[in-house]
Amino acid sequence: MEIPYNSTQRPDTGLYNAKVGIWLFLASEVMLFGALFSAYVLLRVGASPGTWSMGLMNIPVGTFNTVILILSSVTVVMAWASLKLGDFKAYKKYQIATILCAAAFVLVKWSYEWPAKFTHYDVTFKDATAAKDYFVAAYGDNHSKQVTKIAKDRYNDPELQITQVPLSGHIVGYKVKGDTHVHDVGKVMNIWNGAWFWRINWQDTNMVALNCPKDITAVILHADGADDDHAKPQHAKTASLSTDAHSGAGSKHHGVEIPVSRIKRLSSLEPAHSPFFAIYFTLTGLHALHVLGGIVVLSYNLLPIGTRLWLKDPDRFANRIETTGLFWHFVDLVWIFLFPILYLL
Amino acid sequence: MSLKAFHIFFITVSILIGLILAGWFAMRFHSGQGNAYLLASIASVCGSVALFIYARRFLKKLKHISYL
Amino acid sequence: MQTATHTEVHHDDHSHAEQSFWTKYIFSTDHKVIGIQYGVTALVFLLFGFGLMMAMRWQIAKPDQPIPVIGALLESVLGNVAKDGIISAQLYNVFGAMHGTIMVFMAIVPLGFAAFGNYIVPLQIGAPDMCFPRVNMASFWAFFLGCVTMTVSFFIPGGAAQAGWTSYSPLATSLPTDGQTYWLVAMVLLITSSLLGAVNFIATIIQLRAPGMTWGRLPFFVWAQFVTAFLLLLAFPPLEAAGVMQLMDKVAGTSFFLPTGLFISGQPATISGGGSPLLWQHLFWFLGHPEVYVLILPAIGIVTEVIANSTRRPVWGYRLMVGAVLVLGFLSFIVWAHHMYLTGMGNKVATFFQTTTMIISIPSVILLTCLFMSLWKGAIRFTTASMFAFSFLPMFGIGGLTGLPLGFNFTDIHLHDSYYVIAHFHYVVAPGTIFGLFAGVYYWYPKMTGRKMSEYWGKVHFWCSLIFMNLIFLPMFKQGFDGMSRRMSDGGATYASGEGVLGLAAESIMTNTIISHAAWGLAIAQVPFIVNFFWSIRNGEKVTSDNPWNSTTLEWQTPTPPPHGNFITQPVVYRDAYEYSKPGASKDYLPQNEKV
Repeated sequence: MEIPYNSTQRPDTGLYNAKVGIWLFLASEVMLFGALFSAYVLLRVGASPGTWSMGLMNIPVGTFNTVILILSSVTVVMAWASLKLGDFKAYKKYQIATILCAAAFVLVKWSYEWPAKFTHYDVTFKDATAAKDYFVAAYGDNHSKQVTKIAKDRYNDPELQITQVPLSGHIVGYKVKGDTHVHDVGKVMNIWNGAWFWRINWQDTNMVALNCPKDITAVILHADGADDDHAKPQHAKTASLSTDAHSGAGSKHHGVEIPVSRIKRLSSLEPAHSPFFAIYFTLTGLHALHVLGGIVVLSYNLLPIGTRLWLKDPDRFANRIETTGLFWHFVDLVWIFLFPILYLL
Repeated sequence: MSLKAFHIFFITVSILIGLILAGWFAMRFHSGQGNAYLLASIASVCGSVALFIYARRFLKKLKHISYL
Repeated sequence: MQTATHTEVHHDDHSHAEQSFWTKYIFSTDHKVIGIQYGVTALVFLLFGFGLMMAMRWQIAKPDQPIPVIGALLESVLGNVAKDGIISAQLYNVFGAMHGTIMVFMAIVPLGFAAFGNYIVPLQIGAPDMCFPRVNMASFWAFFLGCVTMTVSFFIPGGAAQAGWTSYSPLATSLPTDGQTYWLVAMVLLITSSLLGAVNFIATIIQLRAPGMTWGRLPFFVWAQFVTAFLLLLAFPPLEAAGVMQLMDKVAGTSFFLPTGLFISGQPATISGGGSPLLWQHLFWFLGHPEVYVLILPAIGIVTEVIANSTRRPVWGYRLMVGAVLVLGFLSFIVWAHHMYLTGMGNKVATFFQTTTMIISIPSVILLTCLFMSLWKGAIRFTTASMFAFSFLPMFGIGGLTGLPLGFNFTDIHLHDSYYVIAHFHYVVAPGTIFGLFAGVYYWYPKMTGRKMSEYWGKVHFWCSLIFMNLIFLPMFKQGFDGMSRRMSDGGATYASGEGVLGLAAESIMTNTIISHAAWGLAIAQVPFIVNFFWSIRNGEKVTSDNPWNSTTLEWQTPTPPPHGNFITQPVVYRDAYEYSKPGASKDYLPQNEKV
C-alpha cells in the first residue's frame, strides 16, 4: 500500500503531499507568532507612561544575528538547488553551512544575549530621598543629568520622577544579617548560575532567589556608566560609602551599597521584570526553539539514516529538503519581523 | 509556492529590511550618536545591494525550476 | 492492490507480511485503527465528563448533603475537598472547569473530528489512507498524553484547574494550586494533536481524492471535516500562544495578564504588573468561537449523510450547503467578542461584533433549512441512526435560535453568565452534536464491525435520551431569565428570595431538583447504549452485504471491515454523492463508483 504523490506531483494541483502539508503548518505558525505579535502591540499600547522600557537591546549583536540568518537561508536554498541539479556533495556542503549559521545564532543568544539580561539589574526605590541618595552615590554631581538621560533613553519621557527611574547595573556583592563582611557574587553570578532569580518586589522585602541567602540585608550595585572617581558618597546622607567588592576574577569592583529596606523593586532583566521582557523572552524563546527544531531536521537529513532516501527515491528526498527549506525560510522571516520590532522600535 | 518563489519573496523582504535599517542608522547618526552609525548605515546599504545582485544571479541559475 | 499513479516503481516501505501486536493495534499508522483509538478514548472521557456533571447536579439540587455511593470514595481519594462526602465549593469548581474542558477537548472534538473523520474521510474520498500516516499516529499519542495529563491533575494537592474551562486570568493563575499548570501543559499537547490532525485532513482531501472524485462530488461529510480542519488549524495557535503566556505568568512570574495594582486575598500581588486580563479573553475567544463550529460541523456532516441515506433522496441544495459551510468557516473568525460584551467595549466595537454575529446566523440557517427540505418527499426509514439524525434538526434549531438574544449586547447584559447561556450551548452540543455523533455510531457500526447494533435497544436509548435531554435543558432557559447565575455551587441558595430580600424565585431553585433527576435519568438511559455497543461486537446481527444501508458513498464499497489500504482496486468515481431515487435507474441508489 503506497501513498500516492509523495515524490511526484498530483496533476490537478501541481503539488506533492509534503508541500501542501508544510504550507498548512506554516499557516498555523503565522497565527501563532501573529498572536504573540498582537499581544506585543496590545501590551505596548496599553502600558502606562514610564513603564515600557526600551533601548536595552544590543543592536550590533542583533544585526549580526540577522545577517547570519539571512546567510543561512541562502545556503539552505543552495542546498536544495544542488539536489535538483543532482549534486549531492554540494548539497552536503551547503547544508552544513546552514547548520553552522543556525548554531551560531542560537549560541549568540544562549551564551551572550540572554545571560547579559539575567545579570543586569534594575533597582527602584521606595521614596524620593532614597532614590536621590543612591543616584548621588553612584554618579556624584552628574546624577540629575543621568536620571534625565535614563528617563529619555529608556522611557522616552524626560519628565519622569526620580522614583520612577531605575538605577541600573550589575550586582557585585551582598551583605547578610549580623555580618559586615561583603560577600562576593562573582562565582555565584556568572552567566546562568541562578543570578536571574534575585528579585525584590514592592512592599515585600523578601528576596526571591535560588542561590541567595534568605537573610540578605544589602546589595552592592555597580551602576552602569558610573565613574568611580566622581562618585561622591559623602553627599549622600544615608548611603554607605562606595564599597569594594571582588568579582570572581579577583579584580575590585566599586559599587554602591544599597540596604534592602530602601528598595521598592529589584529585578534583573528577566521575564518577570516587565511586560516588555516577558514578551521579548517569549517571542525570542519560541523563535529559538524553532531554530533548534530546524537544526535537528537539517542534521537528520545529513546523517546516513536520512540520506538513505536519496539513493532509494531522489525526488522524494529533494522534496524533503525543499520542505525543510520552506520551514527554514519561515523561521527566518519571523526573525526579520522580530528584529526591528523588538530591537529598533 | 515552491522554495524558489518563497526565497525570492524572502530576499525581497531582506533587501527592504536592509534599507530600513540603513535609514534607522542614518537617523541615529544624524542625531549625533556617533560615527559608528554612519558606517553601519553604509554597510546596510551595501548589504542590500549585494542581496539584489545575488537575487538576479539566483534567478538565472534556477531558471528551469518552477515557482509552484 | 494497485494504486492509481503509474510512475512510482518503488515498493512498500513496510512489509505486509507480519505486523506485531504493537504496530498493528497500538502504534498503528492505519487511519482506521487510529480512528477507533480516538473514538474509544473520546467515549470514555465523554462518560467521565458526564460523571463529573452528575456529581455537580447532586450538589446543586441538594447543597451540602453528602453524595451517596461515591461520597466516601471521593473523600478517600481527594481528601479535604470532599470532607464527609460533601462536594465542597472548591471541588465543585474543579468539577465544573474539568467538565467543560473534558467534554470540549477530550470528548466531542476527538469523537466528531478525529474519530469519525479519521475513519471515514479517506474511505469516502477513495484514498488508501491519510496523507501522512505517521503524523496521524503522532497526533493520537499527543492527544493521549494530553488526556493523561488532564486526568493526573485531579490528584495533585490543590486539585485540578478550577477557574472554568475558560481559565480567565488573573483568577486562573492566582489560585493556590498547580492544577492550572497541568491544564496548560495538557492543552499544549491537545492543541499540537489537533494541529497535526488538521494538516493531515486538509492535505488528504486536497491530494488523495480518487480519480473522478471532484470537489463537487464530495460527500458533505467531507466538506464539513475540511472546513473544521481549517478552523482548528488557524484558530488554535492563538490559544496555544495564550496558554504559553499564562504558563509563564504561573511559573516564571510574568504579568502578561495581570494588571498593575492587583490585590490577591487582600495582599498586593508581588508582580511587575502592566498586563491585561482582556488580552487573555481576546486570545481565548479567538479560538473559542471557531471551536464551537468545530463542535457542530462534523455532526452536521454526519446528519447529512444519514438523512440522505434514510430518505432515499439527494440532499436538498448540496451546493448551497457547501457554500454555506465555507462562508460559515470564514465568518467564525470575526465574531469572537460576542463572548465579551460585558467587558466595557465601546459602541463601535460592539456594533461590529453584533453585525457579524447576526450575519453568521444566515449560513447556519441555510444548512438547517436544506436539511429540513431534504425530508420533503422522502421515503423515510426510521432506524436508530436516522431518528437521532432527524431529531438533531429541531434540537439544533432550538440551540441556534436561543443564541440570538445572546448575540445582541443589550439583551446579553441580562443573560450573560446565566443559566440561559448554559441551556443555549448545551442544546447545540448535547441534543445537537452528541445526537449527531450517536447517529454516526449506529450508522457506521456495521462497516467497522460487520454487525448491526440492536435496533430495539437503540430506540430505547434514543427516546429516553431525547426526553431527558429536554427535561434537563429546557427549564434552564427560564432559570436564566429569572437571573440565576452559572457556576454557583449551591444552586443559587445564597441568592434566594427571602423576607424583604429580592432574589431568585423559589421555583427557580426548586427546578434544580427536577433538572438533577432528569440528569440522572439521562445517565441511566446511556446504559443500554454502552451495553449494546459492546454486546453487538460479538452478538449483533451480522450484515449480509458490505453495504447494508444501500448507500451511495464510497466507504460502503469496501470489504467489511476495510483492510489495510481500504480498496481492493482503486475506485474511479463517476457520480455525485447522493444519487438516490434517480429517475430511470434500476435501483433506488447508485454508488459513486458505478459506471454511468
